Amino acid sequence: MTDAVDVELRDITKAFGDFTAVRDVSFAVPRGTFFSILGPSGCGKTTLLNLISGFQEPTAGEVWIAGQRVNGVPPNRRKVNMVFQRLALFPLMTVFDNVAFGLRMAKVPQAQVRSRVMAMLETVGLTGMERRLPSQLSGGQQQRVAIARCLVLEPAVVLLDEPLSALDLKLREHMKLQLKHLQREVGTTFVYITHDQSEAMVMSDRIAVMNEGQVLQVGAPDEIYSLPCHPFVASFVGESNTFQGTVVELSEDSAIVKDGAVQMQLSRTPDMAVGQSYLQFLRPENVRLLPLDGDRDRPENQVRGRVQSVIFDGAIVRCLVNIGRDRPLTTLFTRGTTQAVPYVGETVRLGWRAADVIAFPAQHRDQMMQLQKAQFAEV
Amino acid sequence: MSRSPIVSPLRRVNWGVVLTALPLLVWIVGLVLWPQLGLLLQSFYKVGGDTVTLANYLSIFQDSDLIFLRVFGKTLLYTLAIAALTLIVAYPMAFILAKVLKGRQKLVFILLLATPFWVNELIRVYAWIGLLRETGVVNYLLVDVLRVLPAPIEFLYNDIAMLVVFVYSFLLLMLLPIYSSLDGLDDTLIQAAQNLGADRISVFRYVVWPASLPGVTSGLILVFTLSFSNYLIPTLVGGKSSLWVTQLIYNRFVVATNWNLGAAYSFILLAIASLVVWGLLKLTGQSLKKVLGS
Repeated sequence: MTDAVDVELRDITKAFGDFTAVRDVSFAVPRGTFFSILGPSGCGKTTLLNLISGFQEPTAGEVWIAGQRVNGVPPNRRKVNMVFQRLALFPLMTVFDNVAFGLRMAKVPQAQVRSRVMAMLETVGLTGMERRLPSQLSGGQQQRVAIARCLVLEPAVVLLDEPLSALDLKLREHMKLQLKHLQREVGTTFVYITHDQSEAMVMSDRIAVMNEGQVLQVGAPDEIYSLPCHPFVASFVGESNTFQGTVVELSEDSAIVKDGAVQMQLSRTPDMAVGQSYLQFLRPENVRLLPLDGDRDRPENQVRGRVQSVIFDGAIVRCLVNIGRDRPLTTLFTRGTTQAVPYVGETVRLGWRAADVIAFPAQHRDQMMQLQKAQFAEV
Repeated sequence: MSRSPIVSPLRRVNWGVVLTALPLLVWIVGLVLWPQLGLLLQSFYKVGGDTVTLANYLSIFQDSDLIFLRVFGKTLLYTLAIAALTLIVAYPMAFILAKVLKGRQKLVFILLLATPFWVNELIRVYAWIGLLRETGVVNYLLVDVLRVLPAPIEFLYNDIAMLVVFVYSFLLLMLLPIYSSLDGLDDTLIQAAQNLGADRISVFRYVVWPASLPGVTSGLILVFTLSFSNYLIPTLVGGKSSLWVTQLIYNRFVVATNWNLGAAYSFILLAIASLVVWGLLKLTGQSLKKVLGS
């Protein structure tokens, strides 16, 4: 990866009347990256896409593409091509004509059009399909035509607006990997819009997480998952057990936070004070099932509870354990580890390390509401 | 004694189906096929004659001044012009209706366009006469209100007045099929074309126009066939020189009471109209099936 930047947004704001869809958004997409914009529906991600592609103009701020400021440049003059949510293949044109469309618009000589289209169809594995109409292709093939139609123009950036959402689950899993490989192969910068955190995690080099018109965090998938810097990111990306507690005790490098019946130890941050309210997130895979009366394994936090339900999801097992508060604690482990799968009603001992608890000061009452909303969006 | 196993054949008939199909059968056979066949047969006999002859058909070449051929040719040309003019007027309206207006606005727009058409054609043509005649609304505006004309002009009874009324009368028949095909065009296709570098003209040429073609063809066919066979408008607003082929046929049937010749003329009209419809379908690359479907 070079230092070159293909897309840069500088303090972008977009308002529709009284409604601000996007507020003060800035980020840069390095050349050749697979960059995802992740957020629940209505968070402004499609507006961002329209601002980059030129279908809409920002109320304030600048859009830069491949080193040029493109504010006011119409969509047909930007070196950005888009794969639409519903693909938008031209239904009356053959696969060949669909892919050739952009080249013909650019007045590329006929012989060159032919060779470039055929080469592109080969890249996406559609050789032999050039005379078919889009309606005669499978969903996955149509997807590839839509991508080929963009890539053949050698754009600086390809924008993808949830193109996998219309596919069935199995094909979607398959296309995720295909898209990633294709992007690696051609090396073009992809900006991918999605509300599906798993899509973003699997494919992206970098992810920008958005909520309510703002970008909350930009980082590598691993960073976003393990070091979220905003409670929304922590709850939207991946699964979490959430707590809202008050600091009751502080020591040099740890704090004790109490949420009703549950009291836990976590790493201290410099600005913590006794009496402050905190939101805590705990990934289910960090909650471990411990032997009921073992002595060897003693993480800082331990709790006993009764197994409420056991959910098998292929290789992964989730246990929901009632620990005496309104929401059960979820623990997650892979099958085939030494651990025996507990049965419903069994009393178990759970433990987690202080360092695995992610905590944020709970400034607003409505923050918790927001998080619950985000969790619904996930489902 | 055993009873005879013979079942009356009448009982095997599904009377439900027959009864349901009856109106359709009566319609097709009694009101379409039978009279058409009768007329077709008549067209091959001379008045009062009993030998089959092509004389009625050949007579069009023996008219004084070839009046039938000249009127026929003029009607055909004018009808094509009417179809083309209606297309030019209706297309932008259909586009605005389908792609610019939203939800409720569309409904109001269609309602406003359609309301005049709830009134009988004859009354609407009289309304135009009220607008265009020497003492009409247009003259009043030009002479008395705006004072751009020194004296009223007779706008009626010429070819232009006739074309205007024709275009007005058949506007909806062109507008609605085009609207329906444009409404079915996904807006993201237009965005996709723009995104791939197409300017406005190319978007129209490669995306909008092809998508609207079934509607355009269907509109052209409707306007063409209905104005070709129209009698009212040329008779009421056309001038002495605006003779329409239907007037000629009317004369043969009613004035000359020569039903045999009238029948022959009618079938020439039908044949040419069918030929033009076929030509339109070929020209636009559409099939009758698709166009009827729209």
